Amino acid sequence: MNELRISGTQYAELRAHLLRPDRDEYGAIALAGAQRSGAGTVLAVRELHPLVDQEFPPGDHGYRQFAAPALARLGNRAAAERLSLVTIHSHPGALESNALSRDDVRAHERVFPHLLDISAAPVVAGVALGQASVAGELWTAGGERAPLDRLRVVGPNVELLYPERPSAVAPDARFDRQVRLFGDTGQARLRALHVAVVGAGGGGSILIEQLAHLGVGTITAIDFDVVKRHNLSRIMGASDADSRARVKKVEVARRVVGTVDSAIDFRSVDGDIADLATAELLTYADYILLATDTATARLVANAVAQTFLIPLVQIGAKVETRKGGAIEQIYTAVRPVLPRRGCLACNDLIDPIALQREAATPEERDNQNYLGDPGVIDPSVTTLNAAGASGALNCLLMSVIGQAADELASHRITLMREGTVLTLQDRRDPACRWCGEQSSSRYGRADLALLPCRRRATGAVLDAEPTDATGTKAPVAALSGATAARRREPAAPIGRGAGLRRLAQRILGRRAIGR
Amino acid sequence: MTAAVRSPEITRALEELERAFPGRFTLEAEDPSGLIVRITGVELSVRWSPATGDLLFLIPFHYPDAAIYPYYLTGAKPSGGYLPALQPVGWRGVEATQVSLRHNCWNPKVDTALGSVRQTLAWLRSQ
Repeated sequence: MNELRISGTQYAELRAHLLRPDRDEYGAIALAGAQRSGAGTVLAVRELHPLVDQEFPPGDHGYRQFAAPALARLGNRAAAERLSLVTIHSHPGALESNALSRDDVRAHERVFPHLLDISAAPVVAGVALGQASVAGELWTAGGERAPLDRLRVVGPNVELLYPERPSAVAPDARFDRQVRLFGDTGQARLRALHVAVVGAGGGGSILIEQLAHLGVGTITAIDFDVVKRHNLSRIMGASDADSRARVKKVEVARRVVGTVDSAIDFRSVDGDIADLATAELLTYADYILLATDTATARLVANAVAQTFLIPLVQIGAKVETRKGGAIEQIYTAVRPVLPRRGCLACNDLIDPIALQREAATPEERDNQNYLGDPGVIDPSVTTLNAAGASGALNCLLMSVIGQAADELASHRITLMREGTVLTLQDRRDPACRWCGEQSSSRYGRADLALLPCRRRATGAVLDAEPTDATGTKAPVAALSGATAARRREPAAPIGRGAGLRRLAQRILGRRAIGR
Repeated sequence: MTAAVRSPEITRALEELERAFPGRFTLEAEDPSGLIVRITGVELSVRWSPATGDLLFLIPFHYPDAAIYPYYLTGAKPSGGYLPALQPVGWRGVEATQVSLRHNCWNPKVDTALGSVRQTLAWLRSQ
């Protein structure tokens, strides 16, 4: 499957430029990172360059052509950035059926060998965008040509465009009631979906079970841990016998999925996404759900989402207590992460100190906990996990069936005692190392980006004990003025009357924009 | 065990350290957790015996997203006894003084290994 992948924001810009009311043809050039595997090539658009009229003039051999200076300019830029060049022009008359014209193909034959030479990229591509369809082809440096199978738009809704509308699928009585919401086409999209779930514990096991009930076709579950007795209150399908036999959580998930629908392609991975070989499995998913609350998992999943343009939803539940143990707030968080929409790093949700602590050996953690802090194991309650899981799954479902409103892509927290949902203002850092626009950002670089992982064999079973329980309280170094200025203000206790918006500001550092 | 593939940021950190401490910077080991580096002959204060030592630390595999912490000092001990942020430990086969100075406001876009080393050395000299 050869795919061109683009963010919702860039696709809107592309459509506005290419498909105008005058129904003339227009051109643009995208620079994309490439992911190449035995399954095909994915081109993830990093830069979009709409061309002005002089750069897409009337052609010598066809209606219009890409001007040599524009191809040279952006070919050189592709070479400098080590990206693949994709020419895109409009087929304004193509509705749900589209194909490259003879002139398009001849133009590729004249130009693409030179583009491969100039850009030194492994792939170049030519694409024609219709109103609701796409056609194109990929050329490789090895001289192979392959058709473009689809365009994937990753916005609040995940849109798929093909050269021809996919044929209808036979209805399945199993899904009769949900098909009444989103039709056989929606069900077919779910069946074609590959969802990776990171964590198969309290939150992850609920995600996996519900994905199976929805009829998702391929599920990859990643977890290195085994079932213990204290997990039984919240892992779906886990039994006392599982805890005694220390069965892997992913194997419990396999059993549950098999019970619901044996036709699902379920892939259990006994591993940790901190390890590169395991993290790379995420890059083949259509959607990532993150249900393990470590900083390292957040860092890696966020990196994959932005470098390969894969939608991600992170979920979590939190019980905040005051000194002395009184409960201050109980909330769940659902945090969708879309390309260039504000990632977990933009929102300060990846703690550098926690990353360091999680990477330390148990002995090092003991030494770092020199003040003897006993540490705190956070509460985990199945109903809270279920609230977060359902929030994430509804994001996924609405996105896949094309029903997501724009605000569904914003982070949300639900205050469980009040039953109030706060939608948080989007926060995007244009200089973000993962989704920013500067040359050093990893956004859309696909295989070119180094994921922030350990390099070692997959499937390594790591320390399964909680890694965040040491609660190190080291003194702070003398800080420079600039560093001190970044220090967060101490958290002030907030009572019920202090305002939910202020609470959101404090919890996640952002302004709530809706309830 | 294969050597870690170095990110551009880790490569830059090594280059900066090498430039800042010419002839005194060595890469001790490289494994999946990151790179262990040593800066030899760092000058301390009269409260250390002797007044110079070697500073060791790990640049973790996910630097600069992960902060650098803690530091380990070998070859010198605090002559007046250990302060709360200093304690004797064994670290990867070495007897050392753990220097527990954590950058609670570490910002991956701004902070660097070299800046962290300089802050740590300044703090050590002030003790």
